[in-house]
Amino acid sequence: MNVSLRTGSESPALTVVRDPNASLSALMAAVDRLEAHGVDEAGPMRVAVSANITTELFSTFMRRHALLAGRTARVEHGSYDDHLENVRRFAEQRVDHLVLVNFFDNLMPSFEARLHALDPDLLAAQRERVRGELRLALAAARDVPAVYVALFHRLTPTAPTEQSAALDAVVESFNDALREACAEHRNVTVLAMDEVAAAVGHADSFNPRYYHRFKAPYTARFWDELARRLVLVSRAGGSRYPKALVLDCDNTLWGGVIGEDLIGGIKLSPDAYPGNVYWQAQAEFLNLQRSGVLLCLATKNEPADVEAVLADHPHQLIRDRHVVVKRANWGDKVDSLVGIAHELNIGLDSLVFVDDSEFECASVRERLPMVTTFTVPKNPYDYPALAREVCDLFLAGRPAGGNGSEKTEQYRIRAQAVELEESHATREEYLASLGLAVELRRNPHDAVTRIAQLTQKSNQFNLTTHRYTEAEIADLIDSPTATVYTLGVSDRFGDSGLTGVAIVRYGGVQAQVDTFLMSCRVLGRGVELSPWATIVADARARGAYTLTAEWRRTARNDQVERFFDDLGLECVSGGDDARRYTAGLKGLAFPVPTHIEVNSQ
Amino acid sequence: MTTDDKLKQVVSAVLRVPADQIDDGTSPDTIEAWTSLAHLDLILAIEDEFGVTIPDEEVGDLTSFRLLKLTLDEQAAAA
Repeated sequence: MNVSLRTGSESPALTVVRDPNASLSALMAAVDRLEAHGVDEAGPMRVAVSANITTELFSTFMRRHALLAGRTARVEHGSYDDHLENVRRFAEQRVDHLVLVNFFDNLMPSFEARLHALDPDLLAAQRERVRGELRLALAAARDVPAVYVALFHRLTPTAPTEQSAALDAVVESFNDALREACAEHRNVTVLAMDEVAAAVGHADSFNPRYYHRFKAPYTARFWDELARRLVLVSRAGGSRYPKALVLDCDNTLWGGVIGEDLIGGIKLSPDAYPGNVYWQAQAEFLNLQRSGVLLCLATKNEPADVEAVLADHPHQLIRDRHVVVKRANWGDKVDSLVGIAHELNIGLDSLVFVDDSEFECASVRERLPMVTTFTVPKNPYDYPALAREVCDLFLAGRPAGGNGSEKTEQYRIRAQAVELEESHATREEYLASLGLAVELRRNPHDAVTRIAQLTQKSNQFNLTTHRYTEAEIADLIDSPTATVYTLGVSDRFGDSGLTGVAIVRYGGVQAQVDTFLMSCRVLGRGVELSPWATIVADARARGAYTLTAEWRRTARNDQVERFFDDLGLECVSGGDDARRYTAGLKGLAFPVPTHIEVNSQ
Repeated sequence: MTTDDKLKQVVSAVLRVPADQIDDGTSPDTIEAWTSLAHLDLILAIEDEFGVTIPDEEVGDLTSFRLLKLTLDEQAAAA
């Protein structure tokens, strides 16, 4: 959204919103002003809070951190201590994010102080009540895209006494009950409130006056930190999926300048400052690579110098094999970033860029505001904290499962293929040389997670951009009136894995293409044409007479605006924002490109 | 900036009313947004802005602009 948030010319309101020490009233006024002037293209994140305490102060900070992430948030608070009714209402209102907070000490009046004297049966009953209520609430929140459940923590600080340890154990047993209930739902994430309090400091997290007087235990600083984490975990409300980390080299990957200090002079020793700082940052970035993030280099250096460090420096952790694309040249960093996005066939907003030069960072922020840019701090000892933040940006809220760790290999395969394409005389020759094979599967139960992930993440080659949860995909797979197709693509360079999804719904004599999307890493080779012969044959076998399809405009899917036209379907109604197609199935034929072998099962 | 102006700014930001519409008589009776929950934020924001702690027994009673201002003046005199 809101170009003013990302460019160099900061408004006074933005300066206040960025300032961690801004006064509460100044922050409130600035948040109001920025929201009034910004446009959140995705619409505001709709956040709802249900709690057994007073939480109104949270709104300002949630809105603050949404703005800092380029979004806006609208926050609603449910009735005090009425989770079931609140959740029912919020689910009906189709909120995007639901935060459930139970404050331990307020489960019963002065619960903590009374715990030691409570009958164990009463305690167990209370725990079951909490578990049962949460179960019902989570069941009612089944269709809310993201639900966050706050874990319990103590109001009083832990002390080295037996009584204190016993209290910790009780709190933990209540948390076990929460975790069990949460584990039954894929849309639920637990929030470790004690970690938030630890980060802020115990004394700064709680306001005893407000707690005992108004049931508002948490301070502004606590809510601020919780909101920051929530926006991070939700990836700015699900609008951003960073995929690639682009690193500068000098004073970013290592200390010093390779062209001047030479390989023996750069700082990268794990045992000495400041080399240990760069070494640690490399270790963090390498962890990202292992979890599926694509590492790239963009550096103003002689390529041979960079290659030499990657190959020969004894302490270098990130080696050539970990890096998907390297741009070592004396050109513009902006061009390098654009080139990297092109080569990987991902959007620029999927790039995160880290560089030590204020100048380079400012230039990228100005000209490529969609790239998330981090500047390496001036003091090397501050670098590990920044590296951690970069990692959190990628890892927070990343869905488990899928085949993330294989991604580097897949993108590397693609980058190699781009290189090969340039060496072939004609495109046809090149395509024929690839040995492309597509495995087309119908209703694969074992791929529910990956399919849902693709519907959530794919933006560019996505005809309708319907976002589905895992539960919804599972339902579609089991439905007698729909077929979910997956495309697995391999070629002589390797296996790209499950990279395409088509969903067809049937009603009467009509087969309707609900979803068709492809991961960008396999585009440009005609793979997108491969499933249609099978889809048409299946529709005919089910007795359908017509095939209908649709393209719906989003901010990112221009490239497929004419896909169905190109496929030969007749556009029956077209506008700027949507195009609808229909075709009689009788006699409809979609030839499979000759360079692709399709195996369907 | 005078205490009066600064306080108007805080009340304006928290309750979302233009500062020029705030006067001594401004109270929950004249501003719909001045609910009991908004009052909590207002007291926090005033304490934060002026660096004071409003005495506990007064927190619930400061339900007009004039009373808020009087309390701040008392705090300033006592400091």
